[in-house]
This record gives sequence, C-alpha cells and structure tokens, in this order.
Amino acid sequence: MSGKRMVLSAYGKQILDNFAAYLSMSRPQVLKLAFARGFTSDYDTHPIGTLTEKGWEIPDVFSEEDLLLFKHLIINKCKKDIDSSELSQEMLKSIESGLLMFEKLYNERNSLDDLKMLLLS
Amino acid sequence: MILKKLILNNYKTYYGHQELNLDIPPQVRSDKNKNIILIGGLNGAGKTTILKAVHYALFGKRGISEMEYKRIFSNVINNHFFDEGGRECYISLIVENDNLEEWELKVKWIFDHNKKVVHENREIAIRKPGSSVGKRSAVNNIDTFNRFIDRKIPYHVAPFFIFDGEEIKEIILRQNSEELKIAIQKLSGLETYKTLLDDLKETKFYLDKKLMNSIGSSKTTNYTQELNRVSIELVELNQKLKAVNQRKIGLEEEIKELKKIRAEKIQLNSKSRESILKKLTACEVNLSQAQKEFNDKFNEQAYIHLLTQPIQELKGRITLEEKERERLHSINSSYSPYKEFLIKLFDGDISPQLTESQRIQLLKNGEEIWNSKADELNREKITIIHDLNKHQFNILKNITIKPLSDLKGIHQRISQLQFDINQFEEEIRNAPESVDIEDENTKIDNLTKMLGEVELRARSFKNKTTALREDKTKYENLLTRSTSNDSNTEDLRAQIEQVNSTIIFLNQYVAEVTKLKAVFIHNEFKLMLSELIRKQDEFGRIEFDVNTYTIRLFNDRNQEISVHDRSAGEMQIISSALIWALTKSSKFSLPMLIDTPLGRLDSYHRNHLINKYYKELSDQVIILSTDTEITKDYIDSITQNSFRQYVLEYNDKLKYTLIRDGYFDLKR
Repeated sequence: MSGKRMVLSAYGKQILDNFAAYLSMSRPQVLKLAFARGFTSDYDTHPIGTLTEKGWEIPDVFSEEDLLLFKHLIINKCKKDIDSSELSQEMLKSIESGLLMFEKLYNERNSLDDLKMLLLS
Repeated sequence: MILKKLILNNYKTYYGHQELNLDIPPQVRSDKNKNIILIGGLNGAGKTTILKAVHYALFGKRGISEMEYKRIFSNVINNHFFDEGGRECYISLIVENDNLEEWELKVKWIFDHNKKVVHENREIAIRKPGSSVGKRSAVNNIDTFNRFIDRKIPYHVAPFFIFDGEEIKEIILRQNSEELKIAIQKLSGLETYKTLLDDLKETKFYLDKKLMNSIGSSKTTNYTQELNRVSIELVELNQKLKAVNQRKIGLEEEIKELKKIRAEKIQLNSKSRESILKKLTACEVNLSQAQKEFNDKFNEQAYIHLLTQPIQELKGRITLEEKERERLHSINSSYSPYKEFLIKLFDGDISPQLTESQRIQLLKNGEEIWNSKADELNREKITIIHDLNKHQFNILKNITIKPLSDLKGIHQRISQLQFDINQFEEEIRNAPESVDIEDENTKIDNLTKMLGEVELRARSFKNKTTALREDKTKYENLLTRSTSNDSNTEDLRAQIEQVNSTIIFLNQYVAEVTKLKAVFIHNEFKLMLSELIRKQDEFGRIEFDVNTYTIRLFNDRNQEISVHDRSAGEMQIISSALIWALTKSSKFSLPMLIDTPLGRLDSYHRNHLINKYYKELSDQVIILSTDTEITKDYIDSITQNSFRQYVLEYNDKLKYTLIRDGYFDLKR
C-alpha cells in the first residue's frame, strides 16, 4: 500500500529521533504528526532540497487506515489519481517539511510553552 | 425623690453633730435651674464616707459581705469622740418622696470599751407633708424594711444614682448580668406592671377558689377536686419540664462549645503535615492519570487535529464522488433493457441487411434518444479521482475529529495539579503535626446521646402537659356548666372574666410599653453619647438591644466594636450616657450622688459632662469632688447651676473633718 519505500534524509532522521525523545513518543507517532504538520503547510517554502543525504528507510510503520487517509489526502490535494511512486514522494516531502517545522518551533519556543500544545497550534 | 439632709454624728471622720443640707426647693430647681450640690474635699476628707453613709442608710447590709461589714463598720465611731468616752454614733438620712412625704432613716451603732460594735439599731420616722412630727418606729425586721424601701427606691437601681465616678464603668462591664436587667426594668417602671400582674393572678386564684367553694353539690365537689389535682400535677409537670429544658439548653451549650473546640482543632489539623501529604499524594495520582490520559489522547488525536481542514475537504469530495458513482451506476442499469431490446431487434431478419456502420449509427441515435429522457445526463460531470471501495469509503468517511478543547482541558488540569503539588510541597515544610480530636468526638457523641434522652423526656413531659391542660379545661368547663344557675357564682364568674381580660390587656400593654421604653432608652442613650464622646466618627451606629438590655457599638463600617475594649474614660462616658437614658425613662425622680466624677476624664469630656450632662441629669445632682477636679473653669461653669457648695475640711491636728459652706479656696 505504501508503494515505493521512502527514505528519510539524515537530518530529518536526526530531528525525528530528537522529537521522539522530546515528546516521549514512538517514531511512527512522530512521523504521522510530522506528515500532518507538513501536509497542512506550504512546504515549498521549506528547504527540502537541502535534505539530500539519505539517512533512513522508513519501514512499514503506518496502519492501513492511516495510509489510506494519507494517500487520499494527497490525491485530493493534487486533484488527480497518483501512482505509488508519486505517493511516496509526496508523503516524504510532507514528513520532511513537518520535521523541519518542528525543529523551528522547538528552537523558537519560550520557557512557558508546552512543546506538545505548541505542535498543535 | 430627693435627699434632704444627711446628719453625721461622730461618724467616722466627722466629729460631733454635722449636717449636710442637701435640699433644693422645687422653685429653685424649676425657676433658677439650679440642681447641683457641690461637695469638695481632699483625699481622706470623707467624700466617699458620705456616699457610703447614704447607701447604708437606704440599703443597709445588702450587697455587703459579713467580712466587708466588719472591715467597714467596726470603726465607724469617730476616734476623737471615742477617746473622749463616746460610745455611740449615728447617721441619719432624710429623704423626701415624690408625694412630699419625708422619711428619716437613722442607723445608730453602740460600741463597747474595746471599740467593738455591740449593737446596730435602725429607726425610721415618716412625716406626712406639712407635718413636723412623724411617726418613729424601730426597724425590727430588716427584711420588711428592705421591702418597704424597695418599693420606693429599688436596691438594684442604686448603682444608677449612687456611684463612684471611676467605678461607673462597671455598669457597662456587667451589661449581661441579671440584676442589671432587673434594675433597668425597675428603673423604667416595668417592674410595677409585673407586680400588678402578680396581684391580678392572685386575685384570679382567690376568685377561682371562692367560686369553687360556692359550689356545693357532690358532683361539683368532685370536679373541683379533680381540677385541683390536675392543676397541682400541671404545676409539678411544668417545673419538671422547665428543669428538663434547662438541662437541654445546658447540654446544647456544652455540645456547641465542644464542637467549636473540635472545629478549631480540625482547622489546625487540616493544615497538618499528614493531611497535606495525603492531599499531595492524591494530587500526584491525579496528575499521573491526567498525564497518561493526555499522552494517549495526544498520540491518538494530535495528527488528526492538524489535518482537520484537509480531512473535511476529503470527506466532502469522496461523498460527492460516491454520489457520482451511484448516479453512473443507475444510468448504466437503465441502459440494459434498451441494449437487450436492440440486440434482439438486430438479430431478426431485416431486408436488405443493415451494414455495420448503419447498425452503429442506429445504436448511437437510439442511445441519444434514450438518454435524453434522463435529466441526469445534462448535469456537469464529476471526475472520479478517488478509487475507493465501499469499505475504504466508510473508513475515510467515519474518521472522527474530536474538538481540540478536549486536549486543552486535560492540559489545563495538569497545569493546575502541578501548581497544587508545588503549593503542597511548600506547605508541608511549614506544617504542624496533626492533632487528635478523638477525645472531643467521644465527648460529643456521649453528650448527643444524653441530649437525645433529655429531648425524649421533654417531649413526653410536653405530651403529658398537653393532656393535663385538656383535662383542666374539661373540668373547668364542667364546673362552669354545673354551676351556671347560681346567681352568686354568676357574679364571681363575671369578676373572673374581668380579671382575665385585664391580665390579657396588661400583658399586651407591658409588651408594647417595654418596646417603647427600649426605643426611648435607645434614643436618649444615642443622643447623649453623641453629645459627650469626643471620637464622634468612631461610632457609626449605637444600639440599645431591646431583648438583652445591652449596649452595642458599631463603627462606621458597621462592624461591632467591643465596649470592653474602650478606654476606662470612654467607658465612663458610655456608662454616663446609659445612666442618662435610664434616668430619663425612669418612673422615679432620683437624686444623683456621684463621687469624683471627673477624675479620670480629659478636659474635653469634663467640659461636656459639666456643660451638657449634670445640668440636665436630674433634679438633684450631688457631686463629690477633689481639688484637682475643681479648676476655676469648672467652678465658673458650674456656679450658675449649683445651689449649695460645701468643703470638707480635714484638721490634721485633731484628725477630724468639719463641713464648711463654700468652694475650695482656689489658690491656683
């Protein structure tokens, strides 16, 4: 269902691991959150191109339901049916973008902010 | 009443026969507005002796313990006189009552050669108005004498007209005492009505008895006996009920007191280390639960929250596509009968045979005609981009988005709990050890049990009382009916009826008049206090409590100020204002005899007392002053209103006091 394998950049992997630790969450949970955050933002503004160094191949971590949702959200956004390779690419873009936004939020947060609530805002 | 004369004969510091003429003729009082008699004397000259002599002449040993009596009166004979061989001394007070009758109250003491009192002798002489000779009689029964005096000048009222200026604050401090209430009631005349009520009740009892005696028949005798029995039982039962009720009140008070102590302890306990620790632990448990709940919900819902908008859009789109799919399906299904019809049609013999292109043309034309019937075809077509089966459609359609407030709520709770934990941590450091309230609990339980029993007894007594009352009414009615023909009893019954209605009327009257008196006292008190007191703004409200006969002071913010917390001087002023109010509401016209009334007061309050108070206080105000009180200003302002002035001169050599007319010599 996930189509082609997605390979997260090394920097993205580093953020992922950091956030899994910051939030005491599993990697798949952080990935889902990163996807959601990246998907809803205009990720063209984020320098995803810089994340070229391949780091980590994302295993089959998403449930079928989640994959179904992500796939059709992407289709809906692209307004056309897409193949599995395009799907993987779009998902990866969202995830990388989301992770970068997380890092930005983390760096900009003040001592009163609660990280989890901040991620939701 | 006014004091006319005090004779001191070899009494204490007064040697020989010395007189203080205290009389102020009515025309002087009314026309010249002179109501003050000023008696000046240094310490030890005999001012207080005069005050005590007047008190003793009127009230004797009342209120004086045996020990005190010995201390005061073993030495009443003048030393100089005793040394000359004198063995008796006396005081004599002549008072004039409101009906112009004169009483001479004389107390004589006889001493042995050891200067020990061997006999005290009291005499009373009463002179009718206009007569110079009175009927003199020895007082053999002091109780009778006391009752007699009390009818004119009640003993309990004494502190309101014979008092030491510096002790007058006692009136305020003893506010709640029973005798003060009695005094106020007597002073304001309410006691008279009570006496009248008692008399009326006695009259009724007498008439009832007479009525019963006049009824002769055995039947009525039985009723009478029964009525007597029931009445006696009722009295006994009422006494029991009263005792039980008192016990009940006592127990309730005890329980209330214990509960108060327990509440104080609990309050202390709620701040103890153990109780805070308990709260802290509970908080920590709640916190960990809330944190788990938050994490679970966050993990499950956070990404859905972020995707809210696109998910809603997706749901909208797939719903639209699903509808489109259904529509296309229904169109396809509607084609099938047409297709079947054409296939069968082309299968038949057609001459000449149709070419393939003709067949296709016909099929297409027919299709258009068929389709033109379906409005659906005219609609804009929707491209289906989501390739979803029914199951997948349902999964996407049923994704629930819970409101973010859900998570926010839990997060807020976590913050609150963390704050509480910090607070408790802080409190634990300063908290006291826990206290034990077991003892109070046991006592309260026991007392409550006792109270329950007492209440049960009270209820049973009450029931019995009700039953007995009914019996009483029954026998009274039976008696009335069985004797209704007797004309003599008719008269008696009419009299009883009259007495009854008078009692009812009087009760109502007393209730009303008490209220009125209280209002009057309240108003006069308030008026005089605001005239006298310096700190005007401090008392926002002054109340004379009608029910408790007490004075209550409130500040400008309506908070009650304790009278006891006022300074001695202020209490003296407050007491003076109360005396004023009571004197003004009194049925008696009382002389005022005041010892060192200004000693403790500052110049402001002195001026006010002299200029606004004593001049109007009563028809006769006798002021006993020291030289320090009597300044030139004082004499100047008091001269206009003082009718007589005496100086008590103590001779150091001869060691006795002589009473001389005139003021202190003012050397300063």
